[in-house]
Amino acid sequence: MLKDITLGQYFPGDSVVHKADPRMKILITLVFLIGLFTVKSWLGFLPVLVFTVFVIRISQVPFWYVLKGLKAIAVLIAITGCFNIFLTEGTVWFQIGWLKATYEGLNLAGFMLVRICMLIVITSMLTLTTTPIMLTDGIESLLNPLKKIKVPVHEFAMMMTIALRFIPTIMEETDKIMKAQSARGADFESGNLLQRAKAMIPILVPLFISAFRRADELAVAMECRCYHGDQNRTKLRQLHFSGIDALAAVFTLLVLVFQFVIEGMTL
Amino acid sequence: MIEIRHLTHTYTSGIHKTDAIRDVNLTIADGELMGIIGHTGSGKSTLIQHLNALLKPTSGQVLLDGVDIFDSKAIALKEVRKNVGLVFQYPEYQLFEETVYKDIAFAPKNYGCSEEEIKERVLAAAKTVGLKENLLDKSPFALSGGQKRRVAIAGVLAMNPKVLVLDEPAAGLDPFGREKILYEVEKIRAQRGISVVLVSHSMEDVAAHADRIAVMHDGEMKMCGTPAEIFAQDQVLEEMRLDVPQITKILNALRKMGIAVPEDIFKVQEAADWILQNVPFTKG
Ligand SMILES: Nc1ncnc2c1ncn2[C@@H]1O[C@H](COP(=O)(O)OP(=O)(O)OP(=O)(O)O)[C@@H](O)[C@H]1O
Ligand SMILES: [Mg+2]
Repeated sequence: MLKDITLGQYFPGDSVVHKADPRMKILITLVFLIGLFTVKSWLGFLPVLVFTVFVIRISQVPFWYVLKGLKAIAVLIAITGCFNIFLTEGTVWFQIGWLKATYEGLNLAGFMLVRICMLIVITSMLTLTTTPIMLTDGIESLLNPLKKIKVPVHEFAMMMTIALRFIPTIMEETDKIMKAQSARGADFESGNLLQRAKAMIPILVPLFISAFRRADELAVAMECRCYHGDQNRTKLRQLHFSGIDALAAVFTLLVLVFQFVIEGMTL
Repeated sequence: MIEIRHLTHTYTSGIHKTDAIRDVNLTIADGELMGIIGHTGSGKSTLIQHLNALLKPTSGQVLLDGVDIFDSKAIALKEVRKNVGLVFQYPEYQLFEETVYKDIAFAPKNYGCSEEEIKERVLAAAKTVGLKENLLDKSPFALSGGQKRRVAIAGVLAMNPKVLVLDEPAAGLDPFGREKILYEVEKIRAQRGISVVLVSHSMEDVAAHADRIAVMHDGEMKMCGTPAEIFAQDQVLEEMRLDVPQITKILNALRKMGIAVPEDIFKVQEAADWILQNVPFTKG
């Protein structure tokens, strides 16, 4: 059941997209997210959509896998959709009591729906094709200039790396402990809210104990290797900007240009 | 009785698929102590998690006394798990209660036993695994590794299962601790007359305690038979990166010298006694 959450998960593979420089991928994602918010007409989505579909194809991540991430936010989409449909002024479509659904609202809701879905799909593509470690390396590298004004960028990146590094471990451990307690007849699925909360204790106690033990071991291990934060550190994985990254940047710019041209024509 | 029929399990993560076990067939008779052995990653843990329906097979069946355990109409999951007690690898990590007593009582409580019955079962289970009564009021986290493991095994025994499955019960203990735990496993079988499935990668342990041995290799069950039958094929075992027990090697060497050593000796002590009594040059 824990495995159903795809948002923020890595999908192993060795495509061009997987191999691209994480800094480039982060930048492209940011550019497209901003691009998405400047879109004003339906046709304006087209260039970004085409580009996204293209990226998904060459990344070898199955479409259904990317779309599974949308399930997690289905409720959110439904609620914002309702707000838009009922609270926008305009020509009345139908009416329930004093609530008026309008055609303008429907249009706006559809627009928002496409926008949110694309937002999720694009950010999922970033995390699906980049290992968490590469992602933090990329972020640290991009934020490097902030070190000049004494922002502890390295320390934040290290904390994030450690946190991300232990998510799969803890998930695996949760799975194991749940199985062990199920083997003793524990029931996590039935009963009222209070009973279910109580049923979590046999999972949480061993989980916390082992998390603290791990944290302790890790701290000792880091200290044994004389970890001292950012002073004079070199990196095992050097980030390299390659031809593919340059190509991706060019594509991104082209997509943006297309978007503005199309917007300009339709306005 | 447990019958495993054409059991296959495939793990999926991303685009990667791992065939952890393929077409495994095995029957475990009532009261039998079955050893399962195989190198790391050969699929032992995956196989045994099917025995109490924690994992669902990709294909194949597991029958408990003739009933398909994955058929929810025939038998409830909770009922399966009560009958087939599974003790995981490093089970001490599942302890969570304030006292040893409460932790062992977790399973019978889940199955709705009365207070008296819980008490009876906890005391019996603790006694079987060799936990002293004065430990019952202690916190499980204040115990030694071997004691914690005993608490975990008692926690499963307290369900009074018909079949007890143990995944590497002796892993990570010192030689003395290993021998004691395995001796207790045999005691459980003798006292309660239940079937026991013992998973291990140590040939020594399995050879000395199991009635029959099943050998797993790369997800497939390659051999199954009595220890004597299995160790007769030491060349095949070596190809699978498994070794025959050292004591068997010595006895085989004696056999080659023309000494008629009985087939059923696998314990070091028994072998030593037999040699002292029967091999001429060791006398005097
Ligand atoms: N949750 C999982 N997801 C994906 N693959 C798994 C998972 N659990 C096990 N595997 C794979 O299945 C195969 C069999 O693993 P299993 O744990 O059953 O081996 P094992 O015989 O118990 O090994 P060990 O002696 O190390 O405990 C291995 O190749 C392993 O990588
Ligand atoms: Mg295992």
